[in-house]
Amino acid sequence: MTTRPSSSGTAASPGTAAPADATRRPAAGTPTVAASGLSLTYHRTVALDEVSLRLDPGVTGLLGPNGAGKTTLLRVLATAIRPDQGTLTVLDDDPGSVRGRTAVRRKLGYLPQSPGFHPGFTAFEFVDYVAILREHTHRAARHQEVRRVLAAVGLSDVRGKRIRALSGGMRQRVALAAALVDDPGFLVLDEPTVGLDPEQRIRFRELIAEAGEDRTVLLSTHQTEDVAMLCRRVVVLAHGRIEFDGTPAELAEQAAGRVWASTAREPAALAGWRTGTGEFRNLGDPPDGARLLEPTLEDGYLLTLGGLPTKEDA
Amino acid sequence: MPAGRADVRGRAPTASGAGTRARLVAVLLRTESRALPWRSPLAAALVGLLLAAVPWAFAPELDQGVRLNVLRATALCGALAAAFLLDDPARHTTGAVPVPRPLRQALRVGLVLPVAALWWAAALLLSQRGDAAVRAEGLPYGAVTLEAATLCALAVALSAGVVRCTGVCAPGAGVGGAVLALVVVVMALQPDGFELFVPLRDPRWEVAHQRWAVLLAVAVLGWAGCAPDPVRRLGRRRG
Repeated sequence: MTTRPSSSGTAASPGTAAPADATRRPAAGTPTVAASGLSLTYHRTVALDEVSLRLDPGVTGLLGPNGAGKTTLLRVLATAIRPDQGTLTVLDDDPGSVRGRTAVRRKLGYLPQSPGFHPGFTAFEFVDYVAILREHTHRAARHQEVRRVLAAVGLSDVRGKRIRALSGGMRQRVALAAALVDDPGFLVLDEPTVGLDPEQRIRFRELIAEAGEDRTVLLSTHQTEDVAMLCRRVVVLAHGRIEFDGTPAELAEQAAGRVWASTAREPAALAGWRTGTGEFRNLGDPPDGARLLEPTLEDGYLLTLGGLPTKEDA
Repeated sequence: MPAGRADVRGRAPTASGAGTRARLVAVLLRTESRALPWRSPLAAALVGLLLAAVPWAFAPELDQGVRLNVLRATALCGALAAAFLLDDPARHTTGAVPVPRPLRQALRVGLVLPVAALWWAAALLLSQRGDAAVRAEGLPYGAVTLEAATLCALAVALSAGVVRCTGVCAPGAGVGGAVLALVVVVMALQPDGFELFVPLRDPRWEVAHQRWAVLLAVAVLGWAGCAPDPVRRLGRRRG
């Protein structure tokens, strides 16, 4: 982002208005997020099962199949819902109490899955609305902050356009701008690249990468490419549990020696699919003499989950 | 830190802090007035006014009993309008902001209350236009207003309940339908010991309006209970 203030609290360039006080970053040596034993059940469905997580500055990817509990975990960390059990500290505050939750909300930005807008608002008006909900009462300073975040996501030129007239990618950027108001120390992004075309996705990746340079970003996604490109760390969630926590390279390494090519479908493979060349790419324990392939993050992810979901699961 | 924010944050509500909070409320009032979904409530309110004007325009000789029921239909339109007040397409995008949801809901209702009061006064005036002899009989304005207020409060409370317990952004249409169905069922069945829509000069009038008062209190308390940020929801989102 071109005009984001530095973490020391001084504006990076003239004309910026971000508050950027030190309280929006965790105290030295403490994690941005410390979650322990988070559990949450919807009726009889276990959405989160004893999830423990520590997040530090940088972009962390959260991968998992549909229904794994990713959105629930993000909503818990964003203080939108409360867990049944477990302890949580976000930026040195405990969101368990009303006071603590309000304190956390002043320091975090949240971009939900399928963000909604008041369609009659312009991009500027909507971000201004969010800034007011973030307790910015001083009009001039607030407008300066709104201009800063809109510039940061590259929407300065269309800030006067109504949201209903913007493309899906631009709307996502409006939502990201709203999440960036106040220069939050913790940014929670729930599938922000869904529905974007490749160009928009690359642009969005760049924004997220910049956002993660000096703050903690938790990115939920189905796109293993996003994780490979953006994240220092990746967490795989399945059935409400953390199945893997490490670097993207370590996740790919899970599949080392367990990916091979064949000319026909391999019944013994945990997962296999036909590629564009007509060959099959198989995951699992390869037969003797199999032609091994270089594993990707996606291979490691699928093997962590135990292969592709069956038709019933899907 | 930009001017004007320091007092809101991290300071006890001292005189200056309270002043800044008042400024926040003033700014929020302007913004919420723009965020309010005016179209559906205004349409429902307009239909209500047209209904209230029916006796004056087409049947000035209608007796007060019929006029009372017309007013009740107008009140129901008001309740349908109220059901939309908490519709918020940006609900999830603003799901983790420091300004508490009860304040935002209260501001929305507060914004609409003066308009609603004027609308109801106009409905009462319209309903009494026409034949002077009929007008002389008079209508129990207070009691009918109590019925209207209760229906509106019930609609708002139900909308707040839907917002609290589900991920729905726009509960208005569903709650409006539910309120309509509820009123029709109660009118049709008039369950023994729980009559609400009683005719004029009926001996049960007094007791029925005591029930309306209790219902109003329950609806207001229900809204107060449902206004805080959703803690849990009935359904679950994918992912």
